[in-house]
Amino acid sequence: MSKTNRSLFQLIASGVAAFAMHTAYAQQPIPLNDLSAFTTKSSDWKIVGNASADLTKENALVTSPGKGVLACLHEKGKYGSDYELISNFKHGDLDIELDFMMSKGSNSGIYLQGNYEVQLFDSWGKKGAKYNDCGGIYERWNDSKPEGEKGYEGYAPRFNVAKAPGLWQHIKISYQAPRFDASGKKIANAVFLSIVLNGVTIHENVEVSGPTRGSLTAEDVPMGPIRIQGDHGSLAIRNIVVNNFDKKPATLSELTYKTYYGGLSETEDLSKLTPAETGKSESLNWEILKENNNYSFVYNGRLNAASEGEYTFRLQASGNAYLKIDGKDVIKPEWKSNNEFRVAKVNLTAGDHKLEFFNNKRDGWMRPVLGLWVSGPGFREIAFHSKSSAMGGGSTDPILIQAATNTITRSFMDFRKDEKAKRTRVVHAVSVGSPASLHYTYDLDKGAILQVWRGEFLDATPMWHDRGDGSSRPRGSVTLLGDDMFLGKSGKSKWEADTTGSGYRPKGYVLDDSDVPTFQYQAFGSSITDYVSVVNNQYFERIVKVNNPAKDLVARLADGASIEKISEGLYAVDDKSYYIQLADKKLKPEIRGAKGEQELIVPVTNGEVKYSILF
Amino acid sequence: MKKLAHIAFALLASLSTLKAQESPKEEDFYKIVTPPIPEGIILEVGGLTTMPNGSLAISTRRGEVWIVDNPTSRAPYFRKFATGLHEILGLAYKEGALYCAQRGELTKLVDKNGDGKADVYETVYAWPLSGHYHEYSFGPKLAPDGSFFVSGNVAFGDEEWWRGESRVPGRGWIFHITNDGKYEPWATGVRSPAGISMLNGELFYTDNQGDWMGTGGIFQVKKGGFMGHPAGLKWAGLPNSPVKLTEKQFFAERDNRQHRNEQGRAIKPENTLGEEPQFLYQLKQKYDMVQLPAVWLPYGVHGVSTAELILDDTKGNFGPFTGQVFVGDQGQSNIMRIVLEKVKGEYQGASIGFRSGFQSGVLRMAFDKDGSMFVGETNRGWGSAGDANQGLQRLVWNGKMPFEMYTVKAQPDGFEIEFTMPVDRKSAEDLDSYKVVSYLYKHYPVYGSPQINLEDVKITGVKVSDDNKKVRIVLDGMKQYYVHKISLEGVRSASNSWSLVHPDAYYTLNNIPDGERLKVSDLKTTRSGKAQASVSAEPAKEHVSPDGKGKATPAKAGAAAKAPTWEEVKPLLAKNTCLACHAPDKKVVGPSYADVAKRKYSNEKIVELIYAPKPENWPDYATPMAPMPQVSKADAAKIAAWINSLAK
Repeated sequence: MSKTNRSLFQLIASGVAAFAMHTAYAQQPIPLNDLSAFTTKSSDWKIVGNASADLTKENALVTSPGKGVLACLHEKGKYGSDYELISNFKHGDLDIELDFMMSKGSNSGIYLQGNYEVQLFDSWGKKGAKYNDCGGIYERWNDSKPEGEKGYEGYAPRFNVAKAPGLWQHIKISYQAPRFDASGKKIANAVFLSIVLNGVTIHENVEVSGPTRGSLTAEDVPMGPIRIQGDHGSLAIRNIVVNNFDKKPATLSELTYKTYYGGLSETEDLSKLTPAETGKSESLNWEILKENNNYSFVYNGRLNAASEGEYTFRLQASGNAYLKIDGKDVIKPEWKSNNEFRVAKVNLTAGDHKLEFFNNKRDGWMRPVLGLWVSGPGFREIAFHSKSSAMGGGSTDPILIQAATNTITRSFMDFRKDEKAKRTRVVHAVSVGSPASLHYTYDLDKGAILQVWRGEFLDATPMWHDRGDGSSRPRGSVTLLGDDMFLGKSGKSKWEADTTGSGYRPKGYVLDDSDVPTFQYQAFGSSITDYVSVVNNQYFERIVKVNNPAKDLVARLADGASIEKISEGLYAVDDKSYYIQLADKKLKPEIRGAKGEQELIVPVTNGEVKYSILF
Repeated sequence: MKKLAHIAFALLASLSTLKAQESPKEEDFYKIVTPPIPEGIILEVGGLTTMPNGSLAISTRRGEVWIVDNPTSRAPYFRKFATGLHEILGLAYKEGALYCAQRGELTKLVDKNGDGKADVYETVYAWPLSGHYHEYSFGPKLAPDGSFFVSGNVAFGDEEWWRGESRVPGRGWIFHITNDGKYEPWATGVRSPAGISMLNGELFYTDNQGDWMGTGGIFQVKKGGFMGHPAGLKWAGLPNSPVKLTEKQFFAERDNRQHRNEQGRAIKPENTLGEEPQFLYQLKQKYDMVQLPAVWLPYGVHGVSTAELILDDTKGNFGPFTGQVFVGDQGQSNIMRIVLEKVKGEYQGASIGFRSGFQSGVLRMAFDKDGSMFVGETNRGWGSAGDANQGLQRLVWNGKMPFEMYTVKAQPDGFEIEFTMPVDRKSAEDLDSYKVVSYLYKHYPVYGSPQINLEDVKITGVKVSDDNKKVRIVLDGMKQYYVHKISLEGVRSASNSWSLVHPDAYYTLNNIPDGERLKVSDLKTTRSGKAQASVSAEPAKEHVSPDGKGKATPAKAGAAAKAPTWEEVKPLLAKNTCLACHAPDKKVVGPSYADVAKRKYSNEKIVELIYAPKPENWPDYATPMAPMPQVSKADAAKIAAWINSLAK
């Protein structure tokens, strides 16, 4: 505990690098100003301005006029293919992502190539998930089998991370179409490479042997439309973005290398030196080297860009490295550890380009590693290196905390309200997990619930591996609420985010018989208790009791870019990312602030604040 | 008969190491026992305390609190008392409740509903943190009035990752929390205060080698005291601070060595050979609130990551050392014995080896009701000589009397050593049985200090008491403030000619007591002329079996220098404390020599690295190597040649 540590720093740095691994592709939004991108026989599908759903009323979706949102207002009980929406474009390999909103009890699905269904369903609050829950890959059907065995090959999502009806949810599907030989015979099945629902990966590499029940065509096809089911209930969709992978990938050929040893500087002019060795190789590989340190090497090769467009290169190399194309820096010379990744984009014309890669390493403690990946117009990321070459990064066995019973874990918690905000480290954080798979993190310094999530509980690897950095991370679909004081004084123009002037003093927590905590603190001259419980596996109810509250004491239940009143006592926050529901519907909260920065404030005069957080 | 044969065989087998008679070792008096622990319980021990009924309470780095009922029985019962706490590195029992320091607060744990586990997790006091990983908090320790003391580790710099920083108040401090939950800063200048301890109602702490800490040390903590690390001085000016030293005053006396290279990157301060050394005592001469350590612990010999102190209050059940103090070490997986005395109003004393060989890093100790010592261990991320990740072990005295120095006391003209049993008068009156050297550690922003001004102290005579249990050693040139390593290799016990289990005591002589000096006429000054044992490092004599096998071929004159053998190099490695952290083929605190050999450094490069290590080359090792300028050039060359001979 006494000593400084660099490997820890590297561990953290590699964590950061992992985030940088997502590469952006050329993406095409589908315009939703009108229905011209689609074909449907039903009038259920409409272009609207916005939508909201009723939390309690089956299949109730309310829309407002405008553009940008695709709504399906379908009366339940009417079935058939007439109600579906089919894209006018056809696709093969494709990524599609979109926002969707379910009405209560609603059911829909996205069929890739018209044939392979990813289920959309109101699975909110359901314990566990099956193939027919939200994000499930729906089953196939064989009528020749006996009853009860007809359905097969349905795939459940890893977790149920479905949100409440009326909230915007996000799904991203990476799909690989089946392959056919010249005679039209299928030689490879379709594969869902990954499906990410509400920020959580719920499937990877799911191979489907043939079309889902209710497919557009009975047999696999090389190209087919996106098809959205419309005959099981109402829903809304927006922000559809597709990325077709229908072009040839870039290639790297005619690779030659030169190697040098002896601890040369990364700025050494190699043209004046005689290489220790020269040679040709099929792909990039540091294993051409005779030493695992104090080396420099240069690769030259022919990069063929099949089509014009933006190419994204991702590099992992120990030590100093650069990537040049046609003599220009694409990834500039810089030192990185063996666990760090760098990403750069460059526009290339179709045809041949000169690629030059340089690497110099003089740090004996670091393993050699070289990985170079590229993605570009119409093709998914491929590697230009041999696979053993990029295995020098190392990895750690994760230490995961499950919440099979109500479970409390204190740790540092890194928090960023949104992408623009600065990351802060909450040092007196306590995370509370429940077997209902609903969890939250509480800031003992402010009496604030800073985040809620659905899924698994915590990843404690950052805290308990090696020395650790004292922090843990939520494992699931996280909704960020905020890290400001929950209580404050009315009449102030700006909410007091910290405890200044409040006399705040944390007093810890007590557990009830099922280990659910009640937090306790003192502020504004009062003793306060804060009790959060899971209701119905669906949401959190919070009861804050304030002993002898000051007259002007108020509680801020939410803040966000927008706060919309949905119905009496029900408020949607931040473009419908979560709801606040007041226990007392007659209570008139104040929504203050301009659009872009709004707050939901209630008085605490009667000594109790009771509301629910639905997400 | 069978037994005899067995013994004879054992004798033969150990012939190569057998001297005239083997003296018993640590393990012949103190046994390490591992209690049965249910599978799946991870006891990375951060706190340990014995409850009034004899149950053992354990807090862990994974935030759990366990209560072990009847811990010395064949089947101790483990009960999980509390969970989900933040890396608790201390535990105390008071009036039916357990108290622990989490990273960010002092917490009271109470089982209010009587179901055997805590249901009240009350925040007694929460302190700020920046969120740096190194901001551990240790304690609490209870003052006689029941109030609490907690110590706070410093953070490290972002760019200057080697430099201890206090980013928020309380870091680099020892602070006091009253019974009604009030916070009071108490003392600063601490760096990595893992060993906050209460001895007879007086507050002590131990620190770890690092920047501004030349080696591990044991300090008494007085209100307003300053222990030497400047990080916490950042907050010395706060209204309730009792520390009256300012950063400005400190840095007027000491260079912080914050320099940048041509690329603008911060340069890590390194030990500079031949520079004029500065010492902590010089700062004390100017600012009296500076607290000198009662005992400096020789780095690599008596530990590398000093942990907790514990007072032997077993009334003899743990052996002859009642009233003395033990200190654990996390890195070396061992425990030292500390003999303290007060001279001119300040504690000072000696460190003596006690017991090594624990399975993981020794962080916490607690005496059980039967007088055995429970030892709580962990090494995750820190490394230790014992290579298990964690451990709960028990140290039991077997009732036999070891031959040890019982006390070492400073005298106006030298030291008085009392033994646990009468000494052989002849050996004790021979000046060649003794050797004394003195040295001190630098006070500077470099990670750790070599021994500075290392020199022999002349022994002018000895006087053995009439009962043969005490020896006065009279010295010419003892130095105030310096560590005096007193070696008694030649002294034998009277009854069985044993040599001492631990022949070395390291006495930190902050003050030389006044009083009468011995008369020269009372002293024995005879020297037998016997070669002194391992203090001067002669290579071990080669053992040649009667048939001549195994005899090394003599090096041919003029042939290239041959790499020394393990037998030749081992005494050098031991003498220079290399073996405290390295082993030939096993990772200990540092890399194995075989792993060093794999780096294919030249011999010259290895010598260079002995004097100026580059810990950044070994990021997988938690403890950076300190510069070892005391290793002679000749030794270093031999060691380097031997290391490279291991390369395959």
